[in-house]
Amino acid sequence: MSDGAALYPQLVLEHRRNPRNRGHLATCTHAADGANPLCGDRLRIELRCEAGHIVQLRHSGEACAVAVATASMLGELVDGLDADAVDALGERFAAYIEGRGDATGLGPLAAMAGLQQHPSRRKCALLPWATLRAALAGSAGATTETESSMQASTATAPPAFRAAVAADVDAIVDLVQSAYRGEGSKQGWTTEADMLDGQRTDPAGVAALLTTPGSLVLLAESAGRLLACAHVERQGDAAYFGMFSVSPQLQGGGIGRAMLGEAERIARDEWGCREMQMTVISIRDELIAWYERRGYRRTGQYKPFPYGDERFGVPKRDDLRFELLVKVLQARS
Amino acid sequence: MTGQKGRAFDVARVREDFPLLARTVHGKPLVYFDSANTAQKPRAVIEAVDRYYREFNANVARAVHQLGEEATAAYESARDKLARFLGAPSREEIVLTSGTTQAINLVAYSWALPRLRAGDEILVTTMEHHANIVPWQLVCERTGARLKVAPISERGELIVDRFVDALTPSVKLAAVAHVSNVLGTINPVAELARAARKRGIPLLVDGSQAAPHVAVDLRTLGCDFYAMTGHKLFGPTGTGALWARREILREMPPFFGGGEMIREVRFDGTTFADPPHRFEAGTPNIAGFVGLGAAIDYLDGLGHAAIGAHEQALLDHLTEALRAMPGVRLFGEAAHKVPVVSFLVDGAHAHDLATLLDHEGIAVRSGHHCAHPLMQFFGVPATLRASLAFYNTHEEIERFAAALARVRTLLA
Repeated sequence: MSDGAALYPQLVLEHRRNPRNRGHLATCTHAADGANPLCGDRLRIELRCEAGHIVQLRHSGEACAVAVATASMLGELVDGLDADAVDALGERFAAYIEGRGDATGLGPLAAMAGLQQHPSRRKCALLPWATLRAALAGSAGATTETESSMQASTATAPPAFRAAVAADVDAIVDLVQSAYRGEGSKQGWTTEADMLDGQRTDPAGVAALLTTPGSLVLLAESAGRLLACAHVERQGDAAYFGMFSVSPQLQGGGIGRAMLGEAERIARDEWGCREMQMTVISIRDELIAWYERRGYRRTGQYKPFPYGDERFGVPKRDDLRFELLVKVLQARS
Repeated sequence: MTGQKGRAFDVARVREDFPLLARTVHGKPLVYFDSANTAQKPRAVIEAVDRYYREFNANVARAVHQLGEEATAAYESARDKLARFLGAPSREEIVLTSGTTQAINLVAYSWALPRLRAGDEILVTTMEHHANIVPWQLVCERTGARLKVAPISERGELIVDRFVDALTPSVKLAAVAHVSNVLGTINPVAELARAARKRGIPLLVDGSQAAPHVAVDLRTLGCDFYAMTGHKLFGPTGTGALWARREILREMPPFFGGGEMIREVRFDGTTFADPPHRFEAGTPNIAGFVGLGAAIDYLDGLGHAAIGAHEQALLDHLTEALRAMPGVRLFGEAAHKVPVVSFLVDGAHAHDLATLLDHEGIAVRSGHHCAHPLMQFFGVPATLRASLAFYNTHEEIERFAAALARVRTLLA
């Protein structure tokens, strides 16, 4: 192009000047905030979904022309799609701007071809996609910058890990309850409030874990504040991971990821385990997807939910069961 | 290599010394306005690195053969040149590092970490680069000390009175940029050093952006630590230095003392017992320092006075060109500046403008410039930054201004 602005064809500039679906929804079922701290860009996507399908989308925020135009264009494209279809389209778009695929099905986003020659600007176009997928997954936030750069710019104090002792029991019970039960848990995405009432655990249950041989309740703390906990138990060659709770206000900030990583490190390096296992309520798709992104795979092996045992809660529906997830722990080279 | 001093600076001739400046980008002659990010290298530097690898590549640690002698001599001569260039009282006070970041971390871990206690404070300023913030935060986390911040004015100048007031007894170290990488502001470091010294508080100066533009004389500056980098000084990447007073260096334990993989690096106690070698574990960037020595020779040949006058004229020209444009907001209008100008254009995102300017052959930086707190101070997520060096020309400023006026209409 003679003006050299291959990244900014007329269609992109036009969408940037007059973005479609810009603004906010009065009521939304899903929302997420995306940020690329290195750019300083911020983008919010709000959705209204019906039966898992997008019926309305709005985007807002301060971002560059590439990000705004992408958000504008994809809004038209994802209308009526469910999370899987959005994922597939997002993958197709990523492949296209990396020069690995054609523009089939991408509609106006074909105008983003210039990104094939601008690797440093691809993350601008991926931010709306990452934010949309985060919204659909029930996450609070997204970024297309690396985890290390995110942590460098957002984390002031990295969490410190330690093993719980008897004096921690009450704080652990409070944290677990806050992450899974009641209205407060809805601030985070790990909530089970719509599936279960009653308790998730109790002091006797936690105290029992602390005295079980080969078992450890791991705590993440920062500045003396309990941020997250998890139970890790050695069962021969495998380790079991459970009671995983992150304070609802802090979810989506990388603490859970750090906690899971630390538990895997202990199981692998200190216990010599070859596999990490966990059970997850099988209808919790977004949670299973989170684990899958961290290398866990579904096994198709199910365990019945302990209906009738109120130590684990009072179910609001009768179709709950657990699915076993596993991850092979690679030895450190 | 004299004869430039006192005469008009012959920029056309100087540009011939920088092979890269002759290239085109997207079919247009390159205008390189990103020297605060990294500077281009003169032929003398490129050839020195090339010659090292072709003619005397060897390790510098006690090799008894001829190549080792030559490599060691060339490497150590960079230390001599740096000492002279910075006005250091002794070459033994120059620790060669990978850059400013490593130099500051050396002070953080070797000097500050063992000394600081809960309740102590480290004083920095709003305009610091992350490299002069994050190492101190890490020390604070481990010691219970606190970071204290001296404010700047809207013009982008350090408020000296507030800095001096902040030098309370709990402050155990002050750390300040000699020159701001975003604003171009030259801080009155000698004045700050006098105030700190009067109160017995050591002062570290981050000289990354100063060394390429202003004459540094450590004998008169009065600070206690000075950190700098080679790649902004027209030398190779991965080079830099920490200067500290001899008595301070003697009290500092080795940075890489006894840690994990570091133990496998050759660290010969006999050779490296005293500063500065105590802090130079492992095979250093020999080629890089050979190149940096050549860069300093080159700069000596040009002379600071001639460079300074030319750069001031470029700064005035660039500032006026941007001020003349409607809807352009300048960040940093200090009385004393180097030719670094940060700005934003109404209604246009910094990254979009940077990409569009790139297509005009013009390289500027967009982003937060590793200075989040400063961005927060001005309430912006990012800026554009044009940072010039002595090899830039008035004609390039005209091209830049014309291109900016043109591309902003695309986004309007």
